[in-house]
Amino acid sequence: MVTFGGYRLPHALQATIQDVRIINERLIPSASVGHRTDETAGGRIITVSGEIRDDPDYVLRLEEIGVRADDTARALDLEDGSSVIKAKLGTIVASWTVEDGLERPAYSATFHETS
Amino acid sequence: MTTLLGYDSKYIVTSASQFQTSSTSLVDDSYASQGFSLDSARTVLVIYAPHSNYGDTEPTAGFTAAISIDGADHSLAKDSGNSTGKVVRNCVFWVGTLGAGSHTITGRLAANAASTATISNRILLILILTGDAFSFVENSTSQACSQTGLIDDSYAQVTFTPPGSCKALVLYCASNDPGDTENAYGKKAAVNIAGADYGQVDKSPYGTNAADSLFTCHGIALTAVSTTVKGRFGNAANSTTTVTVHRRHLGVLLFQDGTLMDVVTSTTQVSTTSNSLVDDGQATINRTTTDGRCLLVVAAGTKRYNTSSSYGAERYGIGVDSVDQIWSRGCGYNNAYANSMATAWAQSLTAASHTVQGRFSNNYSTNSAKIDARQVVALWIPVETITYVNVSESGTGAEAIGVAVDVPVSESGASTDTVAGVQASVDIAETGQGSENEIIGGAIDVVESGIGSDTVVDIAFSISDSGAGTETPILEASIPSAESGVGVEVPSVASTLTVEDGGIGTDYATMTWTIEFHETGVGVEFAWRIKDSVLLDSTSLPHVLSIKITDEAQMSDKKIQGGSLPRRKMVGKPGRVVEIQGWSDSQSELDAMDALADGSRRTFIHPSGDSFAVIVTGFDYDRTADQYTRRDYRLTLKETR
Repeated sequence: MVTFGGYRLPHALQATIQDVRIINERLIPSASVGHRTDETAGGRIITVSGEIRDDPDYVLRLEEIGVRADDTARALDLEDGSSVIKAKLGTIVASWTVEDGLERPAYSATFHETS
Repeated sequence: MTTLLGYDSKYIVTSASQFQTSSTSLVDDSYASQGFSLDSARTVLVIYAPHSNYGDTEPTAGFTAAISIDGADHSLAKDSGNSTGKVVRNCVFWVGTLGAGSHTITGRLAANAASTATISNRILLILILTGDAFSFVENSTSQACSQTGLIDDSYAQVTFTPPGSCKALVLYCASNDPGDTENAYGKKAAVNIAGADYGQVDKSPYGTNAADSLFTCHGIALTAVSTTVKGRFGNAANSTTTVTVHRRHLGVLLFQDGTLMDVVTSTTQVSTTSNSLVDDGQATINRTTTDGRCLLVVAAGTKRYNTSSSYGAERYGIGVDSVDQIWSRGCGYNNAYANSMATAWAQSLTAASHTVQGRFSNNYSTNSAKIDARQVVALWIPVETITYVNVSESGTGAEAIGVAVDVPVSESGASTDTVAGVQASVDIAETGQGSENEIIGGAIDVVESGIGSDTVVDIAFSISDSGAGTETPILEASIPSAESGVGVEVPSVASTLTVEDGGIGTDYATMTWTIEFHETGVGVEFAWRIKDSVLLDSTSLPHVLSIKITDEAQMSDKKIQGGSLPRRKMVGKPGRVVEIQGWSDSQSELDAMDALADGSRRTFIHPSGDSFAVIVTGFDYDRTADQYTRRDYRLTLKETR
């Protein structure tokens, strides 16, 4: 289960975590090793994929996710044993296929870790 | 006998107050009486087990015990002990049907000779049951036994066919009157179920022709087959000297098959010199229950003839979850003569791991006490609950739906009591118009005047407390609500905690509420239009295979030097992007869709009915020579104002 601000994302299947750090890098003439420093954390970008299963209120479920993309930082808990982080919800993708039917859309939600 | 028995309610009256009488006619035991009211006819099991303590004033002839049901005496039994210990006991029972209305059940006592008889402890157990599957006979015809072994008690036999698979509890009590021919060896008794003997107990009287009573029990699973149950008795020393049964009662109660049952029938001897109760290592029942149940335990411990212990003899009791709940004491003619005692207990238990333990001790100082055999029957009777009321409502108008449950509890004994009496749920699926009133109302009124702590847990209750000791009433209630429909929800919890306290002791009353509100339907509105078609304005897109809607959010990062997480802000959304894949076998359809990519603002209608304004930004289709009858297309739409 994945919860965002207490809201449980329906049937989350996968979480992809992209972690970036900003590294300063300067070449030193004739040196074999340059100057590198870790400047700061880039903040993780977490994409949670899942699906809404056989729910006639699937549009409502998607709206429940969508209304949380409101530039508000909430607690994101992947409930995989990792620490709860503070994040904002960004891009949301919903897709339907004829194989799965209208009431079983897949979705992905991208969360941006913030301070 | 058509309906198996189930649990309805119970009353447990225990008291260690001393009661004395020198009357040879039955009088009320002042500390063993219970009044109650029934809404409808019920089967009622009553067990009354009084006893005296070592050293109490007691005639050598002992005392008589009986049960008064609404003023009529039933189930007499007479017993005597020995002159040294003077411990005398009886365990009598009654099973019958009581109609709707008020009833009073009282323990009754009489001295067997015109001198003071003493009772120092007793239990009056009243178990009210649904159903009618029981048999009960009581008879006062004298019958002698002058042969070895057990013989049938001719006046204690029933034959019946259970209405279905069930758990049977068989109880048998037999005694002789003072003056009947009774060898000092005393009697043994057992129950015979379908030809097999169970639960032999033994007891010797004060002396030759003195009163001598026996109580035994057994539990067994039965099916819907004709079954005969008999009482059996004989000489405790297997002698041909005569013993007599003058009064007996035999009861068979058939409980619903969902009743769990544990029976201990060990005949391994245990001994102790302890004056405090210790575990009978041969009588331990461990049971994990998964739901709330009423536990009924009937236990008898016996010492056989020729097992030598002290004159003070034995005590046998019942412990539940490490708490000694009840016990009885007895003694016989001589330290090598037979002795037995029996008692019963009932309490409500929640789902958990529980232990029922047979317990025993001597009656005095460091005397020797021995138990040769014991019969412990534990019945875990399901607590019948109304789990839900099915409500299917699709019409107009207001509905008022409710379940009312009343659990009266009267408690006057020591030790801790836990009442977990009412558990209810109301599930309502409502799709129609009109307003609904959905109510769960619960109340537990507790009147408590005894010592010890009382704990009451439920929805709402009021307490009137005039006794000593600390009370800890707790009100726990939660209303989890999952709401996904349109409309306004106004959940609320209303409560009142009223405490009127005139007794000693410190009282604390607290009220803590936590309201957790997770609202997931914020600002969600839909323009419900045509369903199940993908439309661009009025053009229906052919053979749509997939729809992908991306609602992109543009995030701005402000990095913070030094390793901290960045500050991120959503700067905006460009609008949704819809990617549609499908196919068509018509060139005119493809041309029509291609013509939509003209920069005009159009309305995209999702099969759900959701719609928004878009411009067509891309349309492409395959032009493969071998697939001219099925040409895949891809359409890209971007949301606009």
